[in-house]
Amino acid sequence: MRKQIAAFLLMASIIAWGLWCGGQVFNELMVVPKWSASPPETIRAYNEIPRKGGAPFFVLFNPLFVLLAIASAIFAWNQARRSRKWLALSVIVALVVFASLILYLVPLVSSTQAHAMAGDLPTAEIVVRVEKWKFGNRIRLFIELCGFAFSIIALRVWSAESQITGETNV
Amino acid sequence: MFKQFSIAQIFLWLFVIALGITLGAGLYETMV
Repeated sequence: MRKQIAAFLLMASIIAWGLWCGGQVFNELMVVPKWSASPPETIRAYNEIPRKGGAPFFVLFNPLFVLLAIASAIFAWNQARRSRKWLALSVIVALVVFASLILYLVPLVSSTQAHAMAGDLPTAEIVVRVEKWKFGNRIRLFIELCGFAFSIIALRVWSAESQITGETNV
Repeated sequence: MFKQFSIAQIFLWLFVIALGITLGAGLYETMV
C-alpha cells in the first residue's frame, strides 16, 4: 500500500513539475518580454490591462510542486533505493527554487513594479532592477527544468529497479 | 544507468517533458 502511495505521489510530483515548468517557460517567452520591453512605461501599460477571470497560478502551483516533491521522496525513500539521489536532488532543487522565489525574485519584481507604477524611482534604476530580475529568473528556470528531469529520472530508475526485483507496482 | 536507455526510451521521456511543459504553458496562459 505504501509503495502504491509512493508511486502515485511520484507521478503526481512529475505532473506538478511539468505544469510548473511549462508555466514558467510560457512566462519567460511570452509574458516577460511584454512588460519588460521598455520599463517603466511597459510595466505601467501591462498592469493597466483590464483582466477578467483567471486564477493565481504561482500561489497554487508553487507550494504544490514543492510539497509533492518532498512527499514523494519521503514515501519512496525505503523502496526506491537506486532512485534516492534523484529523489533528493528533486527535493533540493524544489526547495532552492522555492526559497529563491520567496526571498529574492518575488520581492524584487514586486517592488520594481510598485516603483514603476508610483513613478518614484529614476528610469535607469527601474531598468537595472528589471534586468537583474530577468537574469535571476532565467537561472531559476534552468534549475527548475533540471529538477523536472531529476524527478523523471527517479521514476525511470525506480521502474527499472522494480523490474529487476520482480515487483510490478511501478 | 544511462546505458540502459534506448533511443525509443529517450524519445518517450523527451515526449513526457515536452507534454508536461506544453500542458503547463497552456494552463498558465489560461490562468494568468
